[in-house]
Formats: sequence, structure tokens, C-alpha cells
Amino acid sequence: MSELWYVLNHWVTIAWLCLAALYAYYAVIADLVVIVRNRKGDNEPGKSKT
Amino acid sequence: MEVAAPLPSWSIYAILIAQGSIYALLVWFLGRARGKTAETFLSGGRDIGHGMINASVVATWVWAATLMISSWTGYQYGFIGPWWYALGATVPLPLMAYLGRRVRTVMPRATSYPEFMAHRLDRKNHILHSLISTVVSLWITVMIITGGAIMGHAFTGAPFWAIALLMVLIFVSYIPLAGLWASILADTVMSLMLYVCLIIIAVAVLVKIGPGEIWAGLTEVASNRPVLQPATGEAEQLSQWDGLNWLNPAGLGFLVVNIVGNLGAVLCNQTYWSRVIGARDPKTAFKSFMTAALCWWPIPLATGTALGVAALSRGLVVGESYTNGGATIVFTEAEAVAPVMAFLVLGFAGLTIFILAVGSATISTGAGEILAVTTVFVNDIYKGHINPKARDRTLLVASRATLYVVAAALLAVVIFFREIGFSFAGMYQAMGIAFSSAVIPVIMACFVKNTNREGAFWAAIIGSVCGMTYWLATGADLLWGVVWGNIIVLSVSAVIAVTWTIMRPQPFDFDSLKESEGATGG
Repeated sequence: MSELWYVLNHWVTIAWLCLAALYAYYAVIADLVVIVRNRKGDNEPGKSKT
Repeated sequence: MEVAAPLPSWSIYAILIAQGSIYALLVWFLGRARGKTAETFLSGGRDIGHGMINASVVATWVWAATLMISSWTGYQYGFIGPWWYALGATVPLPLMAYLGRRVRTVMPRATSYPEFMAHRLDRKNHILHSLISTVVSLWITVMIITGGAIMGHAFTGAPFWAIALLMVLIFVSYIPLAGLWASILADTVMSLMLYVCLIIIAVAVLVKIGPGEIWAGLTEVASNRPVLQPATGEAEQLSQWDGLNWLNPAGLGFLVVNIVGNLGAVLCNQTYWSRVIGARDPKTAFKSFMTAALCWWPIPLATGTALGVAALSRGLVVGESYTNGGATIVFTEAEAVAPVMAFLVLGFAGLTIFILAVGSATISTGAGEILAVTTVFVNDIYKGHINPKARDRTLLVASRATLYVVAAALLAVVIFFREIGFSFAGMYQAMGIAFSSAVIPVIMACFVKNTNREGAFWAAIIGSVCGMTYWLATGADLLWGVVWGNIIVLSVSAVIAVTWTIMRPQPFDFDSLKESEGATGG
């Protein structure tokens, strides 16, 4: 395995980790917006306004 | 593992207590209404969105082993080790996406997967899968508490039993408030925190060492062939010297063990089925497990590459002492390579961040697994067989009581195993041989309408017996014995279940499941 391939491999692992983190944060924030909005109206489970 | 503890013992207590308090407060403010009925307690209200399910699956699938063993694979097998580790452990998640969507579609009110097996197959399969699911969850919880407490003890000097006790207390501090929803909310926070911790570590290795230097180190190890693990055999040494090989043979063997073992740990585990049950709809469950696979994969991959492969490239020798900033750490066993390397790169901060990450991983998975045991006991055993007419209030009380009893029993088992010196690494690798014979019957029950009930039942039992017999006959070998044991378990159960079904098909109408209410009522 050449140095170029290894360096590429190493960068791919970190870039992928950062992308995964970004997606996880984005998806959770989208959910939290819905939870907070629903809490303002009704705290009962199963009555999501979505 | 005996290491001169570089951190004060109060640090682990502070990390754990802070986390437990945050989760308990969050659950209290945002979701305590979910703890008012047994249905919402065990099913989470069945309206949880994609973001939380995705984060929860990631958090519950990150164990202490994910961080410790993935780094060990980097140290043991070179750069390909973390890829094989991550691939093997990711495979069950997309599969679970299909199974989960199928079960949520054909039986929307199911609360547990053994309950689905009861309606889809029969009573004996229900009992068998209730037992398997319970054993899987207990086994995993014992394994992760043990791993987390060993690491906490090694790097802070706090007593093993005190850390284990604190972990168990945290499990029962927020789960009884709102059940599954509490577990998923805490997982979400832990997952987000975990990413931050791991990105800091990965970037620190990138900046302080750099991939070019790591490559040069691996080349040096391949040419100079240093003995990095003096107590191990020639096979382990050879795989370390082969650290730049795409097809490292020992690494490929580990891939097989990891795929088979993890299939059982996910597909026969109520913890992951609970995330399916709690999702808003079948589509959300499917999407969440698919994205979780993509979001989970880079966690062991980046951690193993940053810590394990970097440690191999630097030629860290098991048994040697290493210093950073005046503090000394002893690298006593290969499985501890991750925290040792984190310490060498970032000093006390690195070690603290790593302990925080492992603590989060342990709490999220442990809490989920204890709740899974509770769900199966209350929903399938208590409501299913002991007291079928139990009212919702009774089930809620039973759920909370079961949580406390299971937590106490687990603590006792963990401390007992520690006293008799049960191996953490052995437990992880033997997982597939113990559980994975039930994987094919579960898949067939979900998708094959002619599945034979007897075939599904005996495939799970005989597969496990054959694999276990073979493995024990090899002297419980953890290199190739465990690889072939895993292959035998899966192959034997597949042959039995498929052949029996072809010879004696038992047609089933999946539409009949739509009318089935969950055991806890609808």
C-alpha cells in the first residue's frame, strides 16, 4: 500500500466521522423543534402535531 | 489491567454523576408524561421521530467494545482492522431496517419481538425467543459494565465495584421516569456528545502525528518486525507485521466473527426492536436504521484508525511504560491501546475525553439493555404467561419493579464475574456462537410465509449446540476456533430451518397479525 493510499484512507475516516456528526445533529435538532412545538400545545404522548 | 492511575478517582464519579443528573433532569422536563401508562412506558408512545431514533441506534450500538476493540483491531491487524470491525458490526443495522419495517407494517401494535414470534409462530418459539432476548441483553450489559468499570478503575484508581454500582444507579435514575422514551432521549444526548469527543481525538492524532508519519511507522514495523506483544503467539505477531496489507488473513477471520456475532446481538435483541417499536411509523424505523448504519460506521473506523493504527505505527509495546507531561501510563494489555494512545496524544485531556466517551457508550447501551429485559419480562413472560389479565397500572408497577431487580442482579453478576476473572475479550468473541443461531429463524419468520414452526425452533437450538460443541472442542480458541464456531452456528441453523420449511411448509397469512394487539394493550 502506497503512502498516498494510506493518507487518503486516514482522511476518509475523519471526513466521514464529521459528516455523520453533522447529520446526527441536524436530524436531532429537527426532532427537538417538533417536540418543543408540541409541548407548547399538549404534553400528552401520541398526540404529535406532525 | 493494572495501570498507574493517571487521573484522580473523583474524576470518574464526577463524569458519571454529571451525566446521570443531566439525563434525569431532561427526561423529567421533557417526557415524564410517557411514564404514566405501561403502553407508553414500554413502547415510548410509538411516535418518536427520525432524528432521535437515528441517534439512539447509534448510541446503543456504540459499546465500550466499539471504542476499545476497534482500536485493538487497528493495533492488531493494521489499517484494515478498523474497516473490518466497522463493516462487520454495521451489517446488522440495514438488515434490521428491513426486519423492523416489516414487523411494524404487519403487526403495528407489537411491543417486543418475542411477541411477534408468538403470533407469527407458536408458544414454544415465543418462550425460546423470550429467553434468547433476555440472555442476549443480560450478556451484553454484563460485558459493557465490566468493560467500562475496568477502564474506569485502570485510569482513575476508583474501585471497580464503585464504578459498576454508579453505572447501574444511573440506569435506574432516569429509565423509571419514562421508560423507552427516557432511554431514547438520553441516547440522543450521549450520541451527540460522543461525536464531539471522538472528533477531538481523531483530529488531535491527525494534527499531532499525521497520516504520513503513521504510514512511515507502519512501513517500519513491516520491515523491522518488532515484537510488540511479547506474551502472544506467532500468529498475532505476523498479523501486526502485516499492517499495510488489505487482505490481512487474521483480520478477515475477525470480520467473520464480527458479522455473525453482531447479527445475533442486534436481531435477537429487544433493545434494537424497541427503537423500531418506538418509531413514529414503519418508514421512520426503516430510514433511521439505514442512516444509523452510515452514521455508526465511521465511529469505530475513525477511532480505530486514529488510536489503534497510530499505536501500531509508533511501535507501542505491551508491558512498557509511557510518559506524557510528567505522568506515566503502563500499557498492560493490547485491548487497552485506545486510552493509552489518547493519553499519549492529548495527555490528561485525551484520557478524560476517552473516558467520557466510553462512559456515555456504556450508560446508553446498558440502560437500553436493562429496559429491554424489563420489556420482555413484563410484556412476554408476566403478561403473556403469568398474569394475562393484568391491568395497565399493574404492568407499570411490574415494569418499574423489574427494572430495579434486574439492575441489582446485574450488579451482583458483574462483581462476581470480576472476582472469578472472567475474560472481557473472550465474552465479545463468543457472542456469535451463543446467540446467532436464532438469526435465520427470525428472518424467516418475518419474510417467509411457509416457515415451519418446528424447523425455526430446532434450528435455533441445534445451531447453537453444534457451534458451542465445536468451539469448546477447540479449547475455546479465540483465533480460528471462534471463526469456525460462528460459521457452524449460522450454517447449521440455516440448513435446518430452510430444509424443514421446504419439506413441510406451513403457510401463514401475515394479514392476520394486523388484528393482534400488543400484549400490553393498544
